[in-house]
Amino acid sequence: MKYKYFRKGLALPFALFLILFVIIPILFIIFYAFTDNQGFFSFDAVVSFFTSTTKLNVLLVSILVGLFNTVLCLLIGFPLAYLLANPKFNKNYVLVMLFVMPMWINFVLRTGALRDLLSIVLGWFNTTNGEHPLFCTMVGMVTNYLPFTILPLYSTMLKLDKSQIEAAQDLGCNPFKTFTRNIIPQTLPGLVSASMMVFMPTISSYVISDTLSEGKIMLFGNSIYLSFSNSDWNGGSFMSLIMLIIIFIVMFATKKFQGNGSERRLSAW
Amino acid sequence: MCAEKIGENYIIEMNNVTKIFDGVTVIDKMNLKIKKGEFVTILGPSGCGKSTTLRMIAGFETPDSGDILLNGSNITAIPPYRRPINTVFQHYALFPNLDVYDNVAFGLRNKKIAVPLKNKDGSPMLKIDKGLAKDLKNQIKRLKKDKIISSEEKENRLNYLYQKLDECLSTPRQAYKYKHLSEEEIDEKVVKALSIVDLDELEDRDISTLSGGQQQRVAIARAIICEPLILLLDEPLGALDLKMRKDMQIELKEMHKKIGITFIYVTHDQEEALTMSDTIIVMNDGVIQQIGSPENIYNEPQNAFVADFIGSSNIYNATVIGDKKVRFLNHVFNCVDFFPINERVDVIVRPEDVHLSDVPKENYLEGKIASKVFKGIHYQYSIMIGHDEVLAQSIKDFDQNKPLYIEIRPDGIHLMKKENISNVYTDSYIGKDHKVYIDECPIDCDLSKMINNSTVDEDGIVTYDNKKYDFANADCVATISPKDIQVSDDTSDAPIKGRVINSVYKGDHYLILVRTENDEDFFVMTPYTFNADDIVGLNFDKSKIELKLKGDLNDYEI
Amino acid sequence: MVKKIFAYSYIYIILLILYLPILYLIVFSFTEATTLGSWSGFSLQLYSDLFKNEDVMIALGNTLILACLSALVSTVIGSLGAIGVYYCKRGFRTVIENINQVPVVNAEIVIAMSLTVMFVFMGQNFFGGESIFSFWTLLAGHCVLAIPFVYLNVKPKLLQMDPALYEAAMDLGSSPTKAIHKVIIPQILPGIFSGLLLSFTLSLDDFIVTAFTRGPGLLSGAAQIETLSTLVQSVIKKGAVPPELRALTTIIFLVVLVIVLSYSIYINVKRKRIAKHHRRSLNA
Repeated sequence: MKYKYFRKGLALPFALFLILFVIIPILFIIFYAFTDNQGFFSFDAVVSFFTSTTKLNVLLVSILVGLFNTVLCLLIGFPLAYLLANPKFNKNYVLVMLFVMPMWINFVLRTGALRDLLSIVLGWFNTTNGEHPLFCTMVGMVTNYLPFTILPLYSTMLKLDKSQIEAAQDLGCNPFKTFTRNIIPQTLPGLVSASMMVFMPTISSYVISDTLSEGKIMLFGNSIYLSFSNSDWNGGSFMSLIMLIIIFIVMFATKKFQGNGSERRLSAW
Repeated sequence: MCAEKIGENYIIEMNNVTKIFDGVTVIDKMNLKIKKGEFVTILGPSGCGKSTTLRMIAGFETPDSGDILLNGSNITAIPPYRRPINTVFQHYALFPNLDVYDNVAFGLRNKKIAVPLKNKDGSPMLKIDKGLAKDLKNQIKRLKKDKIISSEEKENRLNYLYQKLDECLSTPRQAYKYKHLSEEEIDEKVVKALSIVDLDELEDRDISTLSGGQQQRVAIARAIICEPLILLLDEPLGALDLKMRKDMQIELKEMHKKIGITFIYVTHDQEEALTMSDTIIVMNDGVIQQIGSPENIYNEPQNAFVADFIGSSNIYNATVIGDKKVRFLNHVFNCVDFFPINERVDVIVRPEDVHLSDVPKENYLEGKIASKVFKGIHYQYSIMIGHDEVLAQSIKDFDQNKPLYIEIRPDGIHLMKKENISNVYTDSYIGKDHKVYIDECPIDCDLSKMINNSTVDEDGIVTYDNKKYDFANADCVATISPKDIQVSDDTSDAPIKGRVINSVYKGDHYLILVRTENDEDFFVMTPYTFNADDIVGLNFDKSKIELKLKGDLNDYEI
Repeated sequence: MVKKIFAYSYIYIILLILYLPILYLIVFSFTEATTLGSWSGFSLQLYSDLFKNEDVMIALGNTLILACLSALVSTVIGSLGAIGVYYCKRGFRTVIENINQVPVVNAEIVIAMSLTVMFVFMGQNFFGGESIFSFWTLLAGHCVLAIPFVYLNVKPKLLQMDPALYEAAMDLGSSPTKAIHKVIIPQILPGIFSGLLLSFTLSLDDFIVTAFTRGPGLLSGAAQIETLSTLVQSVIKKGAVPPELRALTTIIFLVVLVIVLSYSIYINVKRKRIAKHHRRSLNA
């Protein structure tokens, strides 16, 4: 009946938009990745990527920086989220909002300010940003992505089952064992999604490494940006495709991992 | 094709209505007439199609075939918002963003009153009725899509509709202007509706602050305020607690008397149906089982399903052995229903019609009490007569360890024609592996059943009269009696799996209906209980499967 | 007690580190000194400089127009899409939801690159070799970022809604359009609103997609559209954050602060009101 098609029809612009601006562009990426600049089928972009040690190095460095940043953010963010979610220390949602608020101020502006501040601080030690590109980049990464770790961790911590922790202590777990055997498994979904929120954007980030390392550290994002500036659509597309594949592999892996986690918790009973 | 002319006394008529969801026939060629002003209840187990029936009357679902008439005019193609029918939903579906007053006024604010238009000289203004024409066009469109009715009938009906459309487009009729109600008129009606449901002082309350019973009343007020021709109620009392439900049953019945419109009430609760209705429609599996007054349905159930569903009853296989004499429980009883001699019948005895005594009397049978349950006013006994179980009720407290004697008088014995419960599969075939495929599942049958007095070798070649036959790829009809199928919870090595649709207790066994994924039905006899929706496995007594070849035997000679 | 002091100092030290760059800009926005970290007395000179700086004002205007428009378009398409998809068959719904998830997990730079190669291809093949990069490609880019999030914000509200409401509205004589307008939309309004807010902030903050998909247009006229992000990026590549932008940071910070505070107050008041209602209905 007509009135039933009407409400379904509301999905039409949405579906068209997704096809036109999500699916088709990805098909174009695949198309450009395997053609040359005349539009003929070619493996030029593939070959030039895998034979260029600089580009492969960039990928490796990006993954390392991403892992390092993820670990740092989790190390700082985990206790922070625990404290924020614990009514003994904090009953106020405003404090959590304060951690999120910097995200609302223009990101490029914040990065610029951090660079200026770092150059003042490093100036006291008679050195410059350019001499410590990795340090500066990491400071920028951690300060930018920390709020993204705190939010998912905070919301899983709120759901933390206190009686389970007490039960673990009651059954003779020392604080360390309680932490590894109970708190970590309970907060696993939050940990996984926090890691995802940090790891992948770090690899593909452009502004932070470009600004803070004064161009000395190239991440995968910078590489893609560079090929865009040079109008190298084929090379850029192939790198984007690699990025896309990494993202989907990580997504798929963590999806499985999360599923196993919950099952393991169930089988413990 | 005079369907539109008949039925002046009927407010709703459903003619040959069929509804199919994803290839499953939910309503099968239903015919139903509902009298004006009645309190009608559609009763049946969940999934029997009762809600679908109601939703088709409301207009939320469109039948795949057949027509629905309201006061004699075809409303099948009319959307719900243009039908003068209102619904009380199962979970009320009150609008949480509006308060009580605005919820009740919602329908009135949509409603428009038709005002006849006049020409300047005062004569009625005539125009072509475009709304009616559109409606007729929709009906034509729907009929063209109908794949169920015969092409001849389709042709006839289409011609009739085209004729009506021509008539509608050529003759101008009285034109109307449509006007919204004024806020004063709305206010007056809302106040009146709220007082009918006893909610006078809650006008400006938020919906979320009301109790379940109050929400129920708002839902009713909201539905009756537009003065619909029919009020549909979809299990409206399901969410209330027992006491509240009893009170609301009485109130609804009184409201029905007061407002005087037709109520169509859907429920799975047989007690609710018996207390409230003028007429009960019992449905099962998309088919109407019986229509009648509560007394009629209770006392004269037309088949074992109705008897089992309405109240508890004893159902037995029986044989008529003489003039008004029937044999069951290994005894001969006198009865009042006439059936031909030797006919196999179902016998129904209500527990309250079983008379009990702790001393032997004439015509009383001896039995043993298997269980005794105190039910408040009476005891419910389960008595074993041989291998058969008899349910009985009595206010007397009998000693569980002593024999008990029962009598069933002729007027307490109700005979019903036995339903045909043989399993016949006309779509079976024999595969290349010489197995019989029933419901796409290979079964190693005795192929010699294809021809009388034949033999079969290991390769599946049948020999008869010195001729050899290879039945690979032959179509055949397989017949299995319900007692030759074993049903079990263990589905692991059963060739056929299915879902239990219903189960009827027949004294010493259950007759259950199992439906497979491919929508094949199997009737199965079993001594064990299964619940509806259980997934079960079926095993066949292979030697008992009867096979009959479709087509010419000579085609398969080798 | 010691534990508590330890906890609080940890929280506040991290908070301080996070806010330090912003605080640094805010503090030095009240002085005239242009060089890094030098203080030449209190002054509001930078604020008047800010409003006289045409480049910044144009970028600010572009950013706001773009954010408003993309938020509006995204919210309309995303919300209506969510309603439509909610009523569609399950197979279609799963497919659409999976596609919707792609931009959510995808790296911004990949989204930007994929859109760019498509626009380049379209320009070369369908528009006679001319560039089609303009305000419209930029708007499309920002909508790709925002629409999936609008959908994800509206969907849970639809799932919470009683599915019979739409039918109830029709049963009471509302046409389909009216039923959606009067019944469905009010039910999912909080989701629509948070979707709108999110798409607005996503657009405000975006750099990569803007840099890739922009063309001439808006207040920038025939030149490439500059938004705040692209403008800041191009000036900080050459040197320190320009003095006027310190003033801008202060203003942005104050606006955000006011919004966050009033939002918290609103939430608190609402919570109290609900609690009061509950008490009242319990008493009744």
